[in-house]
Amino acid sequence: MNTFLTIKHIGKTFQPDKEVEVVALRDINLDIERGAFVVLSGPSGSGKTTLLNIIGGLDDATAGEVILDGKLLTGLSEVELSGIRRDHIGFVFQAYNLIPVLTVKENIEYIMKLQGRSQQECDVRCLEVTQKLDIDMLLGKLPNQLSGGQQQRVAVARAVAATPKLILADEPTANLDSKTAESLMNLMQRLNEEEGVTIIFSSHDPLVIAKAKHSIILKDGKVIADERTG
Amino acid sequence: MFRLTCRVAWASLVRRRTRSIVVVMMIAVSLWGLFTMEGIYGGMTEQMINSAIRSDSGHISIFAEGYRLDPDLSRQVNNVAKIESQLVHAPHVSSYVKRLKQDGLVATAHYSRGVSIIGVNLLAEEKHGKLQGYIFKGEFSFGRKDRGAIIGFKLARKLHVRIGSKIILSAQDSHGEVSSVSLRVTGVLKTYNMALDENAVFLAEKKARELLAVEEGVSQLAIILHNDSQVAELQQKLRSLFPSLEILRWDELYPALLQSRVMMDGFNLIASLLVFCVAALGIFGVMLVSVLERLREFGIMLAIGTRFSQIRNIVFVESFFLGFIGCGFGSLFGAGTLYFFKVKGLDLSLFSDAFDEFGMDAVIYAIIRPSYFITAFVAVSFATFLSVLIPLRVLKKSKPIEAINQV
Amino acid sequence: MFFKLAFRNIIAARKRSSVTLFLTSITTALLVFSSAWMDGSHFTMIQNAVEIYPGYIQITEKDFRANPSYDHLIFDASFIETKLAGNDAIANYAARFESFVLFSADEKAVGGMLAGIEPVREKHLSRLFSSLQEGEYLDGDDTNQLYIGSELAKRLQLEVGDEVAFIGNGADYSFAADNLIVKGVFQTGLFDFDASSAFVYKGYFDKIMAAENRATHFIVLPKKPGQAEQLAAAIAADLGGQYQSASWNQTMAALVKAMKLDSFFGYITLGIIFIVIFFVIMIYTLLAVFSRIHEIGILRAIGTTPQQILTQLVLESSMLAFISVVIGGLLGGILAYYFSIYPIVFSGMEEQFKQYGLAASEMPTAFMPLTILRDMTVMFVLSVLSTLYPIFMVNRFKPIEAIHHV
Repeated sequence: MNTFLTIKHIGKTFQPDKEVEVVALRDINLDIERGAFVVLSGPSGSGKTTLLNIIGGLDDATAGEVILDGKLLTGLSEVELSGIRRDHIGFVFQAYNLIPVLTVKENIEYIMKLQGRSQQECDVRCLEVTQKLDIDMLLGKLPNQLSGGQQQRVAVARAVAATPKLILADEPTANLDSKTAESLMNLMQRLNEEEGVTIIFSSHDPLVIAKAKHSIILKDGKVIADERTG
Repeated sequence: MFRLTCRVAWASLVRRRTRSIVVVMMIAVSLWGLFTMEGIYGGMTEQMINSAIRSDSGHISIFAEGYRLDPDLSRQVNNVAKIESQLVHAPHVSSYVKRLKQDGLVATAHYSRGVSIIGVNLLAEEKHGKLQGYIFKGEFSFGRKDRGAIIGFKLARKLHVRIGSKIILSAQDSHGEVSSVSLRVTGVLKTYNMALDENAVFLAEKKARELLAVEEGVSQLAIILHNDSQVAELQQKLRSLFPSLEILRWDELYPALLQSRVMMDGFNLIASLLVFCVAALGIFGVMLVSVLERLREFGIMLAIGTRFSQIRNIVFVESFFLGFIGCGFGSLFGAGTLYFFKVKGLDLSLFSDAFDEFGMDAVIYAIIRPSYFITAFVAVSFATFLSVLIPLRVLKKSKPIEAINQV
Repeated sequence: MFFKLAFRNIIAARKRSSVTLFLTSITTALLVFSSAWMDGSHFTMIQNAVEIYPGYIQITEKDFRANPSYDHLIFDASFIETKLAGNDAIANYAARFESFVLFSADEKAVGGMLAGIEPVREKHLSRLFSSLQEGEYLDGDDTNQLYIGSELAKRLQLEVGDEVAFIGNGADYSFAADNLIVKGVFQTGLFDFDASSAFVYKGYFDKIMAAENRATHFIVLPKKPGQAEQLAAAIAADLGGQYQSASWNQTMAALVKAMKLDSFFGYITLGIIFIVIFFVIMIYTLLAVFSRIHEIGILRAIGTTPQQILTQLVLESSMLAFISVVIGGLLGGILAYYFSIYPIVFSGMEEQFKQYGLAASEMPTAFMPLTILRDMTVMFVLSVLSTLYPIFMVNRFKPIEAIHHV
């Protein structure tokens, strides 16, 4: 097995008050292969988002280690983490979160620009990705001129365009109707196959969950199922 | 209910701590600056006015008719005893002095200058305007046999005289003859009253009477009152008693000083207005955003039966809290700073030449007037009130109930 | 890309941008105009004071300024004449002899200055000629004709044609006295000067006062008044150590310092207003930045470094500040320029001005592009500085905190 992401003994405790302690994750251990298409499911409050945030280096775990492609993420500085997120990880959020003042094309190019790629490279890659996602006719629009499904496809395009090794998507379909959600999942699946990018997403929509080849179920901060179907 | 309103308002200010602190700081710092400025500029003006009153005009001065236009020795106040009997019995009067004045020439072996010769009684002057406090060099005395003279420091500089130097005073006496007297400089005065510092030669009244051949009569009677709010009243009274004399207030004698005070006040007013307008803009921005952010929250409150007027009150109280806390800190720091400068003085000796040029003391003692704080308080209240009017209108228009359903 | 983003964000955050733009440009205009006004009025005051009588450069015997007695006169005036005549940088010059005497007319006796001047040259050197109020100015062949200050004339109750006696000391300390006839009355507006000065033709004065070939000082008008300082130094070098040549900067040092003091107070007052204004700019930046905190969190999440966010936000405030100071600078500059050509006139304030030894009620502003640039730079820096705190604050958040910030 070609392990791409290893999660070892991850635990996360919030302490909003001196006397209150909330355990979000306890002793999570996971191995995810290169090119996997993974879904994290479970009831709300089960720790899906927290786990995704920890994998993406957005949040610190209170215990355990995250090893991405042989590199230990735990304990890295904010600047190092920024670099890793920029070069290796793509994010797709539930609320799309495009930069409102930039056009679709500019949004997609943003991370590539941060990576220091030339305009020509950006143009080529942008066209390639948007054609795959069927949004190449929207390039000049601003985010608020698009529908929710279109915005989310732009968000996926932004994440994928920078050629990350891993895409993290937190409830990407939660704000979409089921038809749009399905078509988005199909597109993500295609990207997973064609680009070979590892995708981990969270969802509680059974239709969406069914698309995954590797299903992890969380409950009360613990892994209660870890099955590979593909 | 009012307590609840205050609690909600307070809680929402605490929740947006940074913002609230910045607004409070803005108000506090700007008021602190304003108070310091007002107190120091005010102190500067009052010091000048005070010098003029102490060293020359008093609150009220009495002259013979026509003396101001033509200060001639022939125009003298003659019925001195009658005036004195009035002044002694007037309850407002703190002290008065009599002076005999004539223009003349002062000469040393090498220099000569036109001067104003003033015959005075030093004891009376000390009791009257604490003139001794203005002694810059030498002593506050005319020496034995009254052979001494006290002169202004700028005059001393121009004549290049020191304590002990001999000077010769020449002037026309009451008979039209030029007469002279030889005196030694016993003291040098720095009164910050430019006219005196540049031109005055004080000598004993007795000597002056000999020099000018004047037996009775004085050129000026200067009166200081206990309380300067009674000046106009006493002036009226004296005018009705002595219609043939010129009875003038200090501000009529030194219109430039009054003008300085008016200008300073006007200047302070403009600066304050600017500051308050800008500060109101600051509060406005914060309150508008804070209302917009809480549309949903207000919507829920309305939905569970809170009246709009109660929400309005919360917004008002929030804004007033910001204003008053800022005002409180500003007043505290302002009063503290002014008190410090009132006691210790602001020492600008670095610019002492310049202050000499303006006829001012280089050490400025600030003044503290309750009006500074009252005005600021009213202005801040007004600013906080105005600054929430628009946010409240926005709130009313936006139908907060609908906001509940928005994310 | 940062530029594009900054520009679009400025457009998008309309409230913050317009308040910052408005305040910064008004403040810049205020500062630019105030500087021009202060510099202008100070320049006018000094110029007035200099040109009425003291002159741009005064030449005296080396100890005269410290010790102005007859022992330190210029005893060889013709030597200085020849030297000055040969200097190309000098537009005009003249000798003066000042003495203090007692004037006495009928029943009045008043002490004052009686000075011998060269009337024809003096016309170009001071404002004595142009201040003529009544009668006539002096001539080069006058004898005992007197040109007297209006206030002094009033005190002595003299009119044109009246006679007045004077008693004083000649240059050799001898007793000197004569009868003078009032030829003209002048009013410069400088009360003290008008109340204590009178002039006669120096040729006549020299005979009466035993002052041939002597002078208390020479005054010099440079061809370029702005270079009085350098010219004074050059003259001093030319004349040698026996003489002193001082520019108005030295002779009127107290006034120059007084003007600096006035500016000092002016800038303090402006400073207080600026503090409030920059607090408001900071508040609006704070609000604007925090309204975008979610977006900033997202940018951070997708790999933008804190450094890049900082660059981005500072770029935004710099662009705003730049546009603002350009507008403000233009506005203030136009005002400064306008009022330098059409000066502000203060009528009814003469009393106040007299107290400070001023004879002018017309105050042009000083239009000086360099000062305007300096003020614009100061405002730019301040405006950007006032946005730094909110920017640093928002940047301290971790991406996840920023995303979830309420």
